[in-house]
Amino acid sequence: MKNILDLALSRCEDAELYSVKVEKYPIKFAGNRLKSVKSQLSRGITLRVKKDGKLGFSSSSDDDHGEEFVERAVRSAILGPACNFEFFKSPEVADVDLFDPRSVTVEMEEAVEMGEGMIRRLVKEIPGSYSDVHITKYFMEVSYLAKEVEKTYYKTLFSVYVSNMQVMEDGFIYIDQWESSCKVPQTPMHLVDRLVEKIPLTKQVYEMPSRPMTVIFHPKAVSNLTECLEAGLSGTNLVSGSSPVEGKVGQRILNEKFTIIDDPTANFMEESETFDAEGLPRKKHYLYENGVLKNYLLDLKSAAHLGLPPNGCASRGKDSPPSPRTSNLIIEPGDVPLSDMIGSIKEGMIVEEVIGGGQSNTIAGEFSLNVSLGFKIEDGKLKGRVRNTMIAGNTYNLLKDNLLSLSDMPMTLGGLSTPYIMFKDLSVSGKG
Amino acid sequence: MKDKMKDAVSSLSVDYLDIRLEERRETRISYKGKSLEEIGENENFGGVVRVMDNGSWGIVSFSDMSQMEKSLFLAVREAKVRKKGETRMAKIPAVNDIVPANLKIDPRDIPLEEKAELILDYNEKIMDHPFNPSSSIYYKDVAVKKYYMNSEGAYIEQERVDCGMTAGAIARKDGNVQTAHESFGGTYGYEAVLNSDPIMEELKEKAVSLLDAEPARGGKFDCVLDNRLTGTFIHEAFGHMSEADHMDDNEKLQELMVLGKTWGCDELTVCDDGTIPGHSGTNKYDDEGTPCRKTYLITGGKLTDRLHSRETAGKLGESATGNARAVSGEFEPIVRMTNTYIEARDFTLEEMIRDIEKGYYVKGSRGGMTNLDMFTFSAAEAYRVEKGEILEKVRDLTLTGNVFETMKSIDAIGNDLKIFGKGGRGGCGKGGQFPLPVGLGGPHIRMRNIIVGGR
Repeated sequence: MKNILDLALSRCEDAELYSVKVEKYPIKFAGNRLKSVKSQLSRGITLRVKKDGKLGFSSSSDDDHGEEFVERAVRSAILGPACNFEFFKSPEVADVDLFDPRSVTVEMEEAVEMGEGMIRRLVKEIPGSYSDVHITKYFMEVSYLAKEVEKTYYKTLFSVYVSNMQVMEDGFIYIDQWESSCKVPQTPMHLVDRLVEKIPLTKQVYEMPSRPMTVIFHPKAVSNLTECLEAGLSGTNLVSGSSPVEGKVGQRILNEKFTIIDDPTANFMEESETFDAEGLPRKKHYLYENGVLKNYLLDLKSAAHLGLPPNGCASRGKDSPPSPRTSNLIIEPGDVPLSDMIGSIKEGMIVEEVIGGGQSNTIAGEFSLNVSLGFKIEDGKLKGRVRNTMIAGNTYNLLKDNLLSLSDMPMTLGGLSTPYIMFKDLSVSGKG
Repeated sequence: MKDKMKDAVSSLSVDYLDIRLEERRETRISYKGKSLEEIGENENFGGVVRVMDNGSWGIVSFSDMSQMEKSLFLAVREAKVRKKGETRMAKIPAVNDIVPANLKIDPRDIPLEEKAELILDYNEKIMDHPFNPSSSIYYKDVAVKKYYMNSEGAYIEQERVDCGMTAGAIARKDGNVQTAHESFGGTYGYEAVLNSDPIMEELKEKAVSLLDAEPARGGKFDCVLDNRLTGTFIHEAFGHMSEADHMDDNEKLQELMVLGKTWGCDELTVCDDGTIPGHSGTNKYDDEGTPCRKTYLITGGKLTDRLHSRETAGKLGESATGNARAVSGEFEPIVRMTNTYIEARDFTLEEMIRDIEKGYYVKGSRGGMTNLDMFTFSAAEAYRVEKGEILEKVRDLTLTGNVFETMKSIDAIGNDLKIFGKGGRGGCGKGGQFPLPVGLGGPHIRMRNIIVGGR
């Protein structure tokens, strides 16, 4: 690694290296049986250089062919864009806990036993159905190298996913639950509990009418809204002139009940890290506070373009250049218990899972989603699951004009912590 | 490479073992508006060893040749975690073959400067409009050399070069932002991206015209789908359902998917064909060394076959179909589509529109998704149809349905088959493997009473 950086520095004005080493050990059960035990050992190194004032980039999966690697980055710089920023050269990092030693010591056999226990319970509780369980442990080593700077963090991740499928005459019912964090859970059995408790509600089926109604977004469905907000806040989209919130920092865009924070410094949370993909120390940022736009998501390049101070929101894949992205998103809870939300609805629905996210005009905030798991609410009571139902709307309008309330108890799903969110007059389409 | 693989294969005594190594060289050029985001060449390596012992798999992927020995050891250990498994693989002949890429213009022969000029030119074409639309362009060519060996005596070297791009226009008026995208490409060469000016012109016109379009109204409607959207529909709604790895451990699903069952009207025939020269989903062999072929999934409305890996075919007592594909060297093969389409029949577009009382003519695809029984797919543009006439343009139209009902709602199949490739950022995703190059298409088709999401 160091020799590649030195080689690049000898040929260019400046250079930086970002390396990600991942060991991933997934165990999969499918159709109630152990399907596979696997290991994935992967490495990705990306090199950026500044040569004659221009930015060059290249990636590789090993550091064995240093000269060729540097040569490719130099060739890229000849045709590359003008480099309008300096690589980051401070040793500063954020203080965040990312490593659970227990994650390293969980053996394959122990994880298999964990999965077998979950499958046994599901077979007993939901006879005749098929369950999948994926248990994956990750070990990551991430390094950033620049002139006189070298920093590394080690991170563990442990994720448990469980899904159940009931095959009916007219289709299937899927329910899934998952969690993922740097820590190994004491027991993943609460995921099975959460899944099983939905089953009675799936027995009765409703076709929804096509008209606007009150809809509660379950935390699992909220990422379809945050994805639209992220597209609007991305520095890259701001620079290219495609964001609808360009130039609106300080303005009230959303409902005053709505606050969303990007927090890569939350201990043990899935997307936490000590420095971003350009070596900047990670920081917590309010994106919208009480509906007011506070911060964009910036990498060095977009920050320089926009004339704003960089804020350490760069992320990069194993072989791609950095670009701004959210880390962990925290939506602040409200004060209404979920049961009160449901109790207040005459005709409506709770949307738990959807398919079709990201297919609409996301940058404009549009969404149009099939409700793959949702429950009809009538006279303040949960009635049963809905079928053949779509919801559609615009995220910005919804979070501004249609937001009724946020529930008091947030749920953490990997890199998102959010309450239930209730909206009035959301467009619903169905066959009823 | 071959010798190292031979040593590894002969070093272990297990029931079955295979090794796949991939060397990959990717050239990418991307713009977002005026900003050049990326230009250059990237190289990486990936390998996977799969060991089967006592009916249980051990699978290890690695990104560095020096990890191969450790990977073999890990794979054997994994296979032993489960004492005894039930996995049986369908038999195939052990092939020895070397397959070069079949290209007219090899993108590797084109200097980076020349590619850069072409893409810059396209990017400027999109932005050159009185409305000043923004743009996004992602050009990618990928040259892959795959080495495959198994303990049954097969050895295959296969070369494949994909070339294509995703281009988009983004139009803005006040707070209103509208986009239009297209992904195209194939395995036939650099020609895939040449002479694409008309596409850039069309994209900006589409994005700008959407600024004044009203959102589609939701509800139940009759719809005519163009060739691209037919492709997305058949891929999402039915193609994924025919991948046998969803059903090999699920007896109830096997009953629902029993061969001979009626799925649609007599005119409906659906194929997956991995042999069409130059298309995105085409290969001579899949990633388990099974020759690719044309599989009739539905013939005359009845289910006739499905897509298999050796494992799923072995389990269901059917033949391997050459559909075990991996998106790159660091993944194991899983059951995937190749080029999937509905065969043409005899309706014209006019005849299909003529009988619509109230509905939409939906064109182009923004993508789709399925959870097997339910699917959604979004149109790039749509026109309202009333009393047999195509009226004004609307935006943000998504279609949804249950696969069993919706396949039966197809009542007219057009005479104009077209199959499209994917390039740039486009492709199919499954099990964390994205974007796999696939082809999809069909003629225009008409569906009765389909659910449209909208406002």
